[in-house]
Amino acid sequence: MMFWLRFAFRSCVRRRKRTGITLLGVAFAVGTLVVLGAIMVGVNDTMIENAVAMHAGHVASVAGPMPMHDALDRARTPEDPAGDLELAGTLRRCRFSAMLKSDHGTLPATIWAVDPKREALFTPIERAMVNGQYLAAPLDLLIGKAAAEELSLNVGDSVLVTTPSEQWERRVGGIYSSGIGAFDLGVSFMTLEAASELNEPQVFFEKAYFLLRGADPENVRTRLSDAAAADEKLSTWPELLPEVAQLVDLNAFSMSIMIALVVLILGFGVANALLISVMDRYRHFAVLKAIGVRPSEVIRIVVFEALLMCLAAGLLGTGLGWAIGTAWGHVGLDLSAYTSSNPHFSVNPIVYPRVTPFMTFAPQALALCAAAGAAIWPAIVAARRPVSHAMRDI
Amino acid sequence: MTPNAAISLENVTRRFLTGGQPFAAIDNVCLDVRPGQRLALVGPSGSGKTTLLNLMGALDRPDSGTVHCLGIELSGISERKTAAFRRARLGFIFQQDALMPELTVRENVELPLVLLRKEPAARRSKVGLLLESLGLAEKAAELPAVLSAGEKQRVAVARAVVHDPDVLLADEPTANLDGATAGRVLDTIEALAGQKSLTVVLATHDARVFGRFEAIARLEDGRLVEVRTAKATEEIRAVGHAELF
Repeated sequence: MMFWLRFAFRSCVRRRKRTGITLLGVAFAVGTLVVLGAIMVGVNDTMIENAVAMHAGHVASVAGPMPMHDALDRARTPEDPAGDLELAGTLRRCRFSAMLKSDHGTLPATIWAVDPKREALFTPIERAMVNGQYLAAPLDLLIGKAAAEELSLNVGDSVLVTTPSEQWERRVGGIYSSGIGAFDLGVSFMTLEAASELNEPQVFFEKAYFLLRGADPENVRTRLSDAAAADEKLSTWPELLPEVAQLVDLNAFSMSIMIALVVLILGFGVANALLISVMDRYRHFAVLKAIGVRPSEVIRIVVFEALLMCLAAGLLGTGLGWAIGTAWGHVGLDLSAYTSSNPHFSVNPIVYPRVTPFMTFAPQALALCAAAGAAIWPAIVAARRPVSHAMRDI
Repeated sequence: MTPNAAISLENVTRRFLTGGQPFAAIDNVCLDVRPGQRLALVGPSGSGKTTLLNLMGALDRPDSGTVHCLGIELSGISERKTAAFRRARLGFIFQQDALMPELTVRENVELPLVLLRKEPAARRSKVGLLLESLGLAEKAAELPAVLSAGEKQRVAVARAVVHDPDVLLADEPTANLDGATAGRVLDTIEALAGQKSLTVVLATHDARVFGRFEAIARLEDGRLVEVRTAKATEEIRAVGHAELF
């Protein structure tokens, strides 16, 4: 085995130019796939982070309905004990439905009572302010730009918040614009402190769990469910945001097709290079067979050559792809020119390519498989050519 | 098959298609080579020497007739068994360009021993001694590209005999060599064949070869037209070589 490996290696080295060109082609293909894979992962990350930041985190827990004071008690309990290495943080909120009423109209709304300081750590609303301040005064109401336009409200105006059981007058302290029309129209915020003055009986207590990048929400949900209260229902973001999950799957599917096409083209390239190399060496293979090398050993030599070439090329391509993908991940890729009307990028249009272990090594592994597959035909051509015919091929 | 023959050909015919027409490269040839005998196959270009050598070495199969080599009927065995037979019992020397360019001289000579799965230490020792005896020890680490034509052929001879085969088949081993170099190559073949009691069949139209061989078989248009044995050597030396062509 080692002898044939050495033989194959020397054959590759001896045909430096041909090997070099093939090697560069394979390295370019592998490197491109690694970089494209990193961009795909980055696009998915951005879409998911934008979506979960606007909604309920990567994993959401909902309990209720319950009276406001019960929901607030649970919202004010100490933070979940640290120790989950995949968990970046948790937000506790109280949610209820209400009608917002101004002199110019009425609008149904979902109101979230939140801890502004913690919210600012994980959600983009503070950065999305277009007017006023982000829940600066404890009793202020924060409304979306679409709602403000619908009700002709501005910062400092009063708005009537009505539920089936109560109604309160609140001051509009700020207006935000997330870029998602339905969200800006239907979601308003107040502080937990402001909510404590309400006696609303139909309130949902929510916990939004934000995970570290790359963490699996399903695993975290499984761990969290062990410690969850009996009335808490845990959901992961793909369940809460199926349209985003489908887009992520669609991206992965498109990438798989691209990888398959690149690997196919790569396979043809390797097969072509090897076939020419084999045809140049018919006589040498014939000599080998004449001194007793079996056809299976001839096949082994050619396949080893392909594997060695693609291993070297793959390592080079993977290294370059990893370096480019990682560097790009630090700089970021501004897609705002292409995503300004896309709700999944409205919060943050910057994509940070992320090189994952799978997307780093999968192109290399596939390139090796393609090389082995591509080598079979030239190898069989070399192995099956009759010695007496091959000896005349000079 | 003739009993005790190292190589025995009975009514062997091998045809090829030339311009769509069947052409008999070997036509109904019968020939026996005794163990230890040194036979020169002679004849003009295209007479069928190489084809006959290929049939003897199981590199080709006859369209009709039988080829026995060392007691084995070659046309009836599988490719795998043929390869095993060649690697263990035959040695081949080709006209030119037969060394593996990616292997050093030592590795080229070592190749048959690698195929026979000999221990590395035993391989190195045997190859070292052989190269030493051929005056090629200093070239052991060189690639064939830096060798002269004569040195390449001597390395090819060493590779053909390193595994102690029973039969050595050589196809025009001196064809592209000058007189002195060809002489050295032939000396090497003779010396090694003598040491190891090899049966040698050598295809050639090099007149210098004839006098060194105890039997000469002459081919014309694929047919065996004459076999001279024993005293033929002296006769050839006396009459010259022209009549053999």
